[in-house]
Amino acid sequence: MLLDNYRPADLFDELVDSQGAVRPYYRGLAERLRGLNQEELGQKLRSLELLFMKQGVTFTVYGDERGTERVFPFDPFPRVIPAAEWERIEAGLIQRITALNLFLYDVYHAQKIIKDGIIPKEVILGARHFRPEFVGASVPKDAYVHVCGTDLIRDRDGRYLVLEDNGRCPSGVSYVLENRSAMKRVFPGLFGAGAVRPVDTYPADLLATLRNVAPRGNPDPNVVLLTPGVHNSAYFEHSFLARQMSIEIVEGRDLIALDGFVYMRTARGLRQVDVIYRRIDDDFLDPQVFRKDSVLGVPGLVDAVRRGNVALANAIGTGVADDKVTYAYVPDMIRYYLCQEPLLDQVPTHLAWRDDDRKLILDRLPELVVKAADESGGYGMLIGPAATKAQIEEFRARIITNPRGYIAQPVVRFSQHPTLVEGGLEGRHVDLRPFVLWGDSVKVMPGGLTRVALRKGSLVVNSSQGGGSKDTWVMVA
Amino acid sequence: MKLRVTHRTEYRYALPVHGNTNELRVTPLTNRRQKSLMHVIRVVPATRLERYHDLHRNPVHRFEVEEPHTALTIEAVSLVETLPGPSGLLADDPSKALLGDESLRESFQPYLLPDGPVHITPQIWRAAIDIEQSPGGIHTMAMELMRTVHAGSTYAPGATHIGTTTEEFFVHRKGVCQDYAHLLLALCRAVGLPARYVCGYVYDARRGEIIGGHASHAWCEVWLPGQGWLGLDPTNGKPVTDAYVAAAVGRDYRDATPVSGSYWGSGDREMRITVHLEAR
Repeated sequence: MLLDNYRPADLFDELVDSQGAVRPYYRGLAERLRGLNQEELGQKLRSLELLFMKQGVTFTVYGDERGTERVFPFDPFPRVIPAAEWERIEAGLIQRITALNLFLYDVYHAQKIIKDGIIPKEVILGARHFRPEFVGASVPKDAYVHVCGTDLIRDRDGRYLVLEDNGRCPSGVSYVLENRSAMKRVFPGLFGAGAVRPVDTYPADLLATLRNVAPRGNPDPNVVLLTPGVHNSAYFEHSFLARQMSIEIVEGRDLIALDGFVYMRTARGLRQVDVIYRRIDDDFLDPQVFRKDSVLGVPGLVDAVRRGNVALANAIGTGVADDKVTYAYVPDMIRYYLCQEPLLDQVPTHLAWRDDDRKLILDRLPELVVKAADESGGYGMLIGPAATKAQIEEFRARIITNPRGYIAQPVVRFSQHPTLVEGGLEGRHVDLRPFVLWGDSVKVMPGGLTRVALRKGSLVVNSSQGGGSKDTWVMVA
Repeated sequence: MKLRVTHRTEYRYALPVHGNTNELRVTPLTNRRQKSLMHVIRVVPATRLERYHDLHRNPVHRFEVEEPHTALTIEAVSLVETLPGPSGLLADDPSKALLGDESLRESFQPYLLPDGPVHITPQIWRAAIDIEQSPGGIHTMAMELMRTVHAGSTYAPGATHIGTTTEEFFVHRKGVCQDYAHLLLALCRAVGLPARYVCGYVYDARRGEIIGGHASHAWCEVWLPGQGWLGLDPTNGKPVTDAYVAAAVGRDYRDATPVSGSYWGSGDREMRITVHLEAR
């Protein structure tokens, strides 16, 4: 009944094909959804909301006056990914994280990729998150990005495109786990529609990934999670993951660096820390090295890292790999380091620092998406077709004064998925953030976080900008 | 069948080594029997991979770790789609007379000569000729040659070493898949049947059903004129099925070694190989 009135727009629709027929891998689920009546559904939605409230699944919006903490909006219609499709995505993600880690090792060592003329020197040295002070420093097992959240969208033809790699502190995985457990509690009947690959081994896999980089191969390392504190937008996730992995969650003031080692203050005195899963940006890690005004970090931490007495995940300086100008070179990186063609496509990108690209960008601002090279989370962005004249002129000035700082891409009208709104189902744009772990082996969590732009027609899925999420089902076969 | 193969090789060096150069033949081949869907190789310490094809058209990856190190891990993960081979004897079994063809002998010369560990001794030649005399075509003969290797040998890890020749193996008939494969090559080549060595992996669905497949496995392929290469596994006495994934072919073991290389350094070296196959 619910599905009968669903009208897809003129885009790639996840549920129905261009003829309006439900895609085969959604049929089981659609059948079961048809069996629910409006009243039952309403009841289930209320229990979902209550569940999320009780679990405290929240996030924080910066610069919002109406109380900053909100329940993360959840849409109960799951997104389904068939096994064969997922296989290709998974392969592409493994290839990508492999190349990114080789790239990071290279730019912090011999910089062969620059010397061989694949990536211009200016791109790397000009990246805000490049840390020249780490050139020549070693990290355990040459691992830089241990946890990667790569954002994918689907174009008009249903082709998956990489939108960006988040190789610093990607967040959102806790919502994946919470969404799944909520769905199982409130809609157990839907899971009869076919075997769904489980996601619940993620905390154990993450812990194994962290233990893998323990200094000097210590088999029983003390692993902690470093959070900026309760006011951070992802604090819910920090405490959730620490609890799931049974490790301590600490703030900067709980740690102390002495003689090149890092210790945790406990009721029984100091205890040495071996691996820090840090959910705090490079800038705030250590006021002796980075931002002097940071009160979140630990003075002396970077020295301990350099001496190899403590490992950080992700490593310092990974931001050079998720810089949006570097992004444009990832396919070249894959060819250079792995001698392979990229398995996943990405969005064509114009770089403002190239003279001819800049001219094109400035001429076509109203039709392009402009992004600040070093921002993430949907901040520092201009969506040309939706922008006012004043906003466009503001970006024009910014690009002219700082061409290295901006890139532009065509607007990709990415896929939509039926989403429950008042009065039934409507299509809303969705993306997908799978999580990849680079440990002793590479593990990709089946599925990932499907984010939904809840506002009609909006292409912005970030939770900080009014996005919600869905459970994501990767089918076994 | 869709198979996911994880092949890990780990070295530990007692003293730091450097200039460690390696050639890898761990990439599943793409041919009419199998298709490589995805393949990623990860090397720690970090290093760039180069790729080329060797004389046998195997995809080869090469890398060098210049800086001193005490551990090296090579992990190859592949996803392969395989097709079953012919299950019984072919209806049109090609005639043995075709093997006398001059152009065939020329184009398959490397796969017809005794070389390296593949010695054709008078005893091996005698055994092969006896089977060649029986009625039937090439396929029938090849199956019989494989059966004779299988039936007369005992699988015994440790009985032989990497350089054991067919001459040595033929005396006691105790060895591993590599020895079985080399002997079958010698028998086939003795009667003019082009035969090559295959190194790869085998999926043992019911653990323990397949002998010799716990790490990488070795078997043979023989050339059936007009039909192409046919895979035969003498260790198990069976034709190759869709559970087999070929990663390299060659004249013998030397051409198809999964990992081979050299480095500067002295001191002991430990090696650990793990191969894991999973049906998807």
